[in-house]
Amino acid sequence: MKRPSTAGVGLLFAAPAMFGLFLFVIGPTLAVAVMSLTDWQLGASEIGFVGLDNYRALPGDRVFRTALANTLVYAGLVTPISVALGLGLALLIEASPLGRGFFRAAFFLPVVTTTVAMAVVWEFVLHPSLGPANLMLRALGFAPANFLGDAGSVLATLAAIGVWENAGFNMVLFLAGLKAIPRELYQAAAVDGADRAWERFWTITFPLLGPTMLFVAVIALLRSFKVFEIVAAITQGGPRRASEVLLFTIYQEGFSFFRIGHAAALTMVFLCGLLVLALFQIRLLGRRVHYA
Amino acid sequence: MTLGIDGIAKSFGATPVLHDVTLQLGDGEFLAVVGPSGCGKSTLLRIVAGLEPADRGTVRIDGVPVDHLPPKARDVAMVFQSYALYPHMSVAQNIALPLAMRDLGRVQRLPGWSWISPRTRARRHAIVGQVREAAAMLELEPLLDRRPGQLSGGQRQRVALARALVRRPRLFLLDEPLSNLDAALRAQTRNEIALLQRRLGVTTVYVTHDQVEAMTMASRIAVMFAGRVEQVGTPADIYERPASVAVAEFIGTPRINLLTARVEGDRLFVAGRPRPIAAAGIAAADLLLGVRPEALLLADPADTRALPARVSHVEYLGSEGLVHLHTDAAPAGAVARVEAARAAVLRPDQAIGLHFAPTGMHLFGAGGRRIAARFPATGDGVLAAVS
Repeated sequence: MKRPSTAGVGLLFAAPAMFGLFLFVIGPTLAVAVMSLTDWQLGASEIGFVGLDNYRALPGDRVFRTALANTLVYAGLVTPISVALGLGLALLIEASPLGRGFFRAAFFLPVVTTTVAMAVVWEFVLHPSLGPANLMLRALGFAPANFLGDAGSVLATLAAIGVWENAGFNMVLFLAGLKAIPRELYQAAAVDGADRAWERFWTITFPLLGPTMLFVAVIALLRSFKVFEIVAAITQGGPRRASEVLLFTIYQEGFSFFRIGHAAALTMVFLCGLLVLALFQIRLLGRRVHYA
Repeated sequence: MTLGIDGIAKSFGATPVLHDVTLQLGDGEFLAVVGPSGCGKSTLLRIVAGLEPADRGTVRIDGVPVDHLPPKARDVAMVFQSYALYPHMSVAQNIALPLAMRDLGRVQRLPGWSWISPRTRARRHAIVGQVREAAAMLELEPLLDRRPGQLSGGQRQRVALARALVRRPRLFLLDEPLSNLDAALRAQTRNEIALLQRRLGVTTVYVTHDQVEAMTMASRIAVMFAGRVEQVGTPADIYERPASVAVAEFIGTPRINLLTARVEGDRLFVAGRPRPIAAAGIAAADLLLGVRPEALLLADPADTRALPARVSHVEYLGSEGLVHLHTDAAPAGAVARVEAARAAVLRPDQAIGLHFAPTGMHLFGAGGRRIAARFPATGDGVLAAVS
């Protein structure tokens, strides 16, 4: 009997996973790529090949431009703040021997709760007349604000909710990263003269968190670009498209207006954008990261 | 620079790790603290460094109590068992860190500050010079740009030493610095550290579980068991006059032989065979006679004054031989160190007699404490080779 080659056996073992990967990830992506070249409408029996027309139309599309700008602003706010806050929380929790489990659970809670359910809570908290937020503002002598109803503040408000949602997730990743730093390094640093909190952070903690930092930054960026539920649940992109974000636009184009070809083109742009951003981030940060 | 450790006690929770430890080091002295793992020696070192607070007692450097001072204010340097090199920094940056922390202010340490401030530039320049000097001392110059991850164990160990000595601290603290090296490198580094310490003349506390390191490097040794200092003395003191059975067993390879014995008047009985002893006021209770392997002398089995024994196993080491023996007086067995030529002719199960050389004999009483005794020569001397 002929012995099968190592590569052949390897492929055989990888086959189930490869099958799943093709069926659920690569296949659908290719399907979307093909659909983006058509004028298909959901339910329509005819499909016309339109080439790159769907893509050519995008730069002139006001909704797309607004959604892109809003998404960039949202991600630009949520990513750095939620990463910095996550790191700060992790450092505080790690530094205190008291209530570690409680704080860890408390700050992680937003990650495990359903966004749509929490949207109801936020809507109440931020209600223009009944919400505790405004009651507090009024009690402190400030004018009440319509956080979610005002086109000028809605995106910042959603970003704040996004930070609340994501900081706990980043915190848990940072906590794991902090645990991996050997204690003896801090002791060596203390003997060598770096014993203030600030010196310890810049000499040991921050550089050795490099790989974690890179991972968290990439994940946080991707997560913030994928903002959807809170918009769909609370603002529906309003008022006056001030909270229109890319995923919500794609959803509306595809499932409210049934313009699948257009939605598919948007999806491809969204995907490529994420890919480029993540690659850029890994290149930029990766050069400064030390891997032990 | 002198170090005084006075009545230090420490517990972790309900577990006491140090009981009233007192040690004195003179200027430039090299003290090895040796003991089995878990005896509290590393904790003692960390208390001296200021990494761990003591529950009671005082640490004095040059007579001044330093208990309230953080590590950096004590001006001590420490080499950790894991070396604790900063993995993200080059060798040069690792060695320079203690200098940068001491000689540069917070603002001056900012990257690029030397471009603005000539004074910072001058200080940085001086630091580079000192780093080079320390690197040269440990032959690290070709490695200055490498990261710790790219170095071998021995090289990392030398970087840790360079980082410790670069700022000329008042006190060197070394915590098992050789335990991660292989045997050949350990022997070589042992000598290098001892020479370096003598050259720099820095007072040094060296913690190790390896009695060979302690014996070969230190000018004095403190032997610790279960959080207490059992004996302090020169290597010769400790070997020739062990204060207890524990010390006698811990120091010396192969281990000292322990034989059950009893004393009646001026005679010491081992397995019923008497020999003269000069010791005051010993009860006839069960005693232990410790005999160093080199003091166990092989004799003719027909010699009625000799202790009867049987060879169980012979280790031929080239320069010498170790003869493992069964004898009724030593339940755990006994080992004799003999000339290689004599070991070569011994066979397992061969019957043999044993005499003791007076210089390698130690008597221990109740609780394992040493009993002062002299063992007058019996005239047996070193016996003729066994045929």
